[in-house]
Amino acid sequence: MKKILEERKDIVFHIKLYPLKQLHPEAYEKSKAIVCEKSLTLLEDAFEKKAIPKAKCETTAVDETILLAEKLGISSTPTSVLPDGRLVPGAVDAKTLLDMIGK
Amino acid sequence: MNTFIVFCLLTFCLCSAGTSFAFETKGKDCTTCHTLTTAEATDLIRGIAPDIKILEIRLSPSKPLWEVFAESRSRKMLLYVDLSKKYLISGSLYSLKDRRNLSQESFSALNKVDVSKIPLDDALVMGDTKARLRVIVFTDPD
Repeated sequence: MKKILEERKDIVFHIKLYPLKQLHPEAYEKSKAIVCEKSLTLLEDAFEKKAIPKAKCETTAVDETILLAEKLGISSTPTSVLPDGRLVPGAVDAKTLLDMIGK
Repeated sequence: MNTFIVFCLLTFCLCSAGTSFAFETKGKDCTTCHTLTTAEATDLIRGIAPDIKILEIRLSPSKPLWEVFAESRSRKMLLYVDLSKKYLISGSLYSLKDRRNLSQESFSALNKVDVSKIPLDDALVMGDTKARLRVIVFTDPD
């Protein structure tokens, strides 16, 4: 994403935390903590397997994201939703994603 | 066979929902000799997936295959049925020339979501919030 943002100033990423509870039991708590702080640094820490503090707020946002993702048929992460609504499951390289987003 | 492929290339698409249009210059459309209706596809696939619901049918980019967009147990899927209607393929179709997963691309195009229905107040933002093109990424922190 960073690579894309360097190249294209007309693209913005909105990241929604969608823990796959069965696969990663701790992901739900971590997601809440990250959403509470709205912190990209915390998300990067989580990706790097660093310990992150417990959620500092009560939020139902993560539960809502889980329900919404299931309804939309998003079953793997990461999944990108392009501006026109196309779903791109899996981690794809910057060039592929840019080709799909278009100009 | 080559002539057949040329006809199909010229007349590809617009085969969905029972509609077919032929280019008048050639006057022949592969869907004039081959059809696959929703009811037929349902009958064909029901043996394997009893609750199959056909959403859309069109010729696949690889011409001798129908591309069938369907839903079973609330999971959407893309299947292929050959023109003889004897075989079903469940898997990805790749373009060797372009190294692209054509099934994935078709599936994405048919399975579009309404981005306006995705709340963003809880989302983390990377980039300029005023940017013209918004990509929403669902990710797991682990």
